[in-house]
Amino acid sequence: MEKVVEIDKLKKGIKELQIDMNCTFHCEACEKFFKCKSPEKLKIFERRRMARVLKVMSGIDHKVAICAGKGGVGKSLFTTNFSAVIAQRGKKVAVLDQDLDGPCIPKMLGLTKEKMVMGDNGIVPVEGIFGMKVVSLGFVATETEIVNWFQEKRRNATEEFLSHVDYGKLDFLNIDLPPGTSSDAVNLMEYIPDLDGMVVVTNPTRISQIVARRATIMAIEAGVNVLGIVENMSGFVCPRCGKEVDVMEKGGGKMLAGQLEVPYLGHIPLDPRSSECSDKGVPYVVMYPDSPASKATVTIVDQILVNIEAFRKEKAAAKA
Amino acid sequence: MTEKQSITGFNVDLSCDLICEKCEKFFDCELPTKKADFFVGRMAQARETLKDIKHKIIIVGGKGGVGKTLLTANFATALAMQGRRVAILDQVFDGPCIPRMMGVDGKGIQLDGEKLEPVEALLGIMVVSMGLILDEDEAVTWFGDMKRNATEEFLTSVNYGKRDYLIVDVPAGTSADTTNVLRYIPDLDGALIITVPSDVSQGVAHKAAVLCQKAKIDVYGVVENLSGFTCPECGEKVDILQAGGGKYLADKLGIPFLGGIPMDRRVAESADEGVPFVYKYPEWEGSRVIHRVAKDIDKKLFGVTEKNF
Repeated sequence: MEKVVEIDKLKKGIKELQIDMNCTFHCEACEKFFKCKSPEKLKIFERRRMARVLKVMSGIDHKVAICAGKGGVGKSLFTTNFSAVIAQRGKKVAVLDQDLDGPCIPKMLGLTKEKMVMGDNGIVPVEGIFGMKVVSLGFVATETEIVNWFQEKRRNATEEFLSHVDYGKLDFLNIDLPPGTSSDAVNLMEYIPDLDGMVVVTNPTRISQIVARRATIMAIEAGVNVLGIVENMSGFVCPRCGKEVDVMEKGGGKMLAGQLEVPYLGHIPLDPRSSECSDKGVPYVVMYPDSPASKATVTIVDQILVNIEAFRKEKAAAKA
Repeated sequence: MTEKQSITGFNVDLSCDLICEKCEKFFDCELPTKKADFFVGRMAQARETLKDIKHKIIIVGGKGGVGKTLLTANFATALAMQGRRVAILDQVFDGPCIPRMMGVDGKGIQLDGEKLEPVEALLGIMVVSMGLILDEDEAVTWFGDMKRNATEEFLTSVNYGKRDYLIVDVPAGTSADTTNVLRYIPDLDGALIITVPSDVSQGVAHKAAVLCQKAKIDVYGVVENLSGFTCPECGEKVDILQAGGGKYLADKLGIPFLGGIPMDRRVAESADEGVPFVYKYPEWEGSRVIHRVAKDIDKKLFGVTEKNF
């Protein structure tokens, strides 16, 4: 009995946020800002940058966050192709690459040699295919530089990318969140209170759901609308014999959607052409529009758009 | 109209409060006031706790989802299959997968007096992981100092006992999570880099490797995961994720390329099931690569003749 009590105390100790410890009143840079209940916080911090973020975001119609929980499931690749689909349809789209450790979106769009410039109204994003605007740390730090983005700088970087970028008027801002449920992802959700929703990308294995599950729960707890779950790397069609095989046993994503009662958006099969495209720097929906992966992606994108509209209607009705 | 200036960097704050113990910028710091000697406090305790562990190896990969945890679990198992006493330290706090892969998820860490008891998996492998403490549905927002505290806790309060090897799994990226581990664990013997064939992953893997070199750790080599796929129906070999990334990275870093683990149903199945594939399918190509790596490293560190398994 005693042992059980001790473990609970240990758990509590590890989980509980002891805000007074380590507080140096640098609220502007503090990653715990949104969770902090210290009375000092409100006195010190002037919401200059926050107000700026809200102003910048107000010029953007739709804001979608894409997360994964587990790394390497294809979140960035999905974000890139999702954005390409709507940009190709004539929408004004920007992609914000919030992966501060391994930003690979510039590479996936063939923009590694570009740099962002400082304009009159803020940082000017790099322009990619179909006029897509891209903001990423990948444009700032070269591949071989060690960029140890320490906690306080992460929040600052997030704010920089939200408040000081000249996005202009946009139809869509798609935000590629870093994997996991760390403060990076959570802070972002808090910054943009009118997010249209979050898409969760996962892969078929049961083990990937361990992480996707937590990320989804975190979003639900933060009051973010979950637009649905995408199961990537789901099935493979052999280019020689044409048979469909499962490299990983299917169904983990669908199962998770059912368990957490969020929409299941569909699955995208494995295709060597997808990796070829991402290394080459062209979205696969553009280079191979008829491949099963591209077709699946377009179907999923359309479903996301439907879910966004449904959510907006619901919100409007609730207000009335 | 003035010429537009390119943004080539962000101003990184180098404000220093001389608390080197808590500093994440430790390895990058070149200030003369940096304290390199840590014989006080928790760091000394960590040294004490880990003194009966002969060798410590860290697994890094930089990019998420390349198979760090998978390699940690299977490399540890391969060493145990050679008769070694192994412990796994899972330093991933966001969705730790080690318990699941080692077949011990659902078991809890016990408290024995002041010390935490690791959970025993197959072949006597001892496992320490946040996944053995948190519930499945507990979604915790991990702030920097919580992670550091948890790292400290795992290093100072766990009863590892006498071990030949401690294999450490770290999260993706090259953030403070990784540098904390490199800093807190005294005398890390070496590191294994894991990557995948595609180009896109090499940048981060490279950063991770350079970080280890900065921390003066012997980088043993590069293992390439998801290395090709053989269609079970017709036998055609397909490079789903392009080819060559692992070898390219190894050459660039000037370290050995240790081999490729192919994409195979058995891998996902064993991860989901909780039985490492090197144990369940020891003759499979991917298992052989890991067994060979384990043998070579064991020989290097212990300098004795190989044991048969």
